[in-house]
Amino acid sequence: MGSLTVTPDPFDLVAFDAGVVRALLEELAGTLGMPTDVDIALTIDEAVPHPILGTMADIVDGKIDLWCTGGCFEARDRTRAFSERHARVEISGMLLRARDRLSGGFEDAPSDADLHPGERAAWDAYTAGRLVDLGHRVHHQKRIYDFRLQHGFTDAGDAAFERLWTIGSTTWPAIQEVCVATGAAGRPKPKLPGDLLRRGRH
Amino acid sequence: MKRHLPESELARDERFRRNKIEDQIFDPRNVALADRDLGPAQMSVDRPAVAERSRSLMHGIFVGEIQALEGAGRTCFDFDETEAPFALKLDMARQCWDESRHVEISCKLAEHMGSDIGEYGESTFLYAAACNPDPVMRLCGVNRALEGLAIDVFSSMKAFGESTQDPVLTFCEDWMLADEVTHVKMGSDWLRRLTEHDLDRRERALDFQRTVDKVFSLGGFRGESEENPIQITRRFRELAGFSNEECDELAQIAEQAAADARQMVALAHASQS
Repeated sequence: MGSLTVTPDPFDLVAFDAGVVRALLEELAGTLGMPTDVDIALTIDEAVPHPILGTMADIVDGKIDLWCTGGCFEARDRTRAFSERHARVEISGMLLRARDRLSGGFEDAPSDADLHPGERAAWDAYTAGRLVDLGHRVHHQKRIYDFRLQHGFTDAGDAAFERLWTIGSTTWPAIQEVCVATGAAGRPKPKLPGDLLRRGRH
Repeated sequence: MKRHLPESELARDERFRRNKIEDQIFDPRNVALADRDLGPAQMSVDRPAVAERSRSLMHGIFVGEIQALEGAGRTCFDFDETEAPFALKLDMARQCWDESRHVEISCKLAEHMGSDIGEYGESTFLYAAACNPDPVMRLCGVNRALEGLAIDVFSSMKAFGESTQDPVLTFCEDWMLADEVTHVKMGSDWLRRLTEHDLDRRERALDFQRTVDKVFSLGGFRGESEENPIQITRRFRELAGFSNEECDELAQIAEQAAADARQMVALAHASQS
């Protein structure tokens, strides 16, 4: 199996245990059938708290490069505490998207930093539906609200979301078609870089 | 029934978990975050993590409505008629009716945005403004400071709803905003009536309000620049009985709160280096 690394180790600002996070990453990579010969690096920016949620999943030099804010793993009702439930969902989501990029019909998708917010929201809806299939507790209304913010509060947008949520398998060109259909593709690309949270500076 | 219920004795069911304000103030991440660019301060669709940030704020509004209900309700009960006239209590009772409706609306909005009751921790510092044993001070704390903050928050959330073309959020915030204006107006009117012959007491009450307003400005959360997520809403405050001078003073208080927060971060940086 390729190497698995978790950064930072140890955590200084939050009550997370790098060993626990690494064990979760290993378990979930196995469950999702990630290629055993590919290295996986997960970086958690522990300085960024809930509710500032952000994840990235890219393939860099043949390795799986995962990044998220500490808020993604933080208990929603206890400052700086670890939530295994949220960590499981977020790590699984990142791994699914990384797997898409390796061999799931998303090989031509731009890196997360270059995704249009509408494209990212559509890909996330597809991912969330698969997380439900895997048995994770995923809040349907939360995910549709996230989708609506980028694709509009319309019946057509909601129908597109439901298709992505239930489709089970799709491709990058199909995601782009959804964005055209809802009008999200026509929205101006934000002036802020897509990886602003990771950069930390504009 | 006990009079003057302290913050620590507020009744909540098992869904709620209380946040300690000191945990937030002394969170070691605050110093690291001060140097970071996390996107536009104001609520906008191109802001990173906008969905979860708006959900978390909505939950804060929901628990704030519960505490406003508790504050107004306590004022109906805590004072006898020599301290608080019956007509004032009637106004507070009417406000309770409004706040109850706001709690229900906030529940529905949280549902619309995809969160659950008690999903996020509750801070009870808003209710703390409703614990003053002097009814005039309490009116200033609740009706002018807390409800004034509600005007600013609802106006900002309504603008967010308009920018995202979310008809549900826009409509609900607009209706609640209208109620808040009447609540602040009641506070302004009763402050003048109850202190008509005691200007020293009025000044003490306004001093208390300044203190509460500084706390509620949350170190830059509220203000008039692009750096402030929640904007001071002068137009609605004027409708609610605030003078231009009072709006100017509030803006200065908010600026001072932000400057104090920056100074705290600078001191923390200095102590680390």
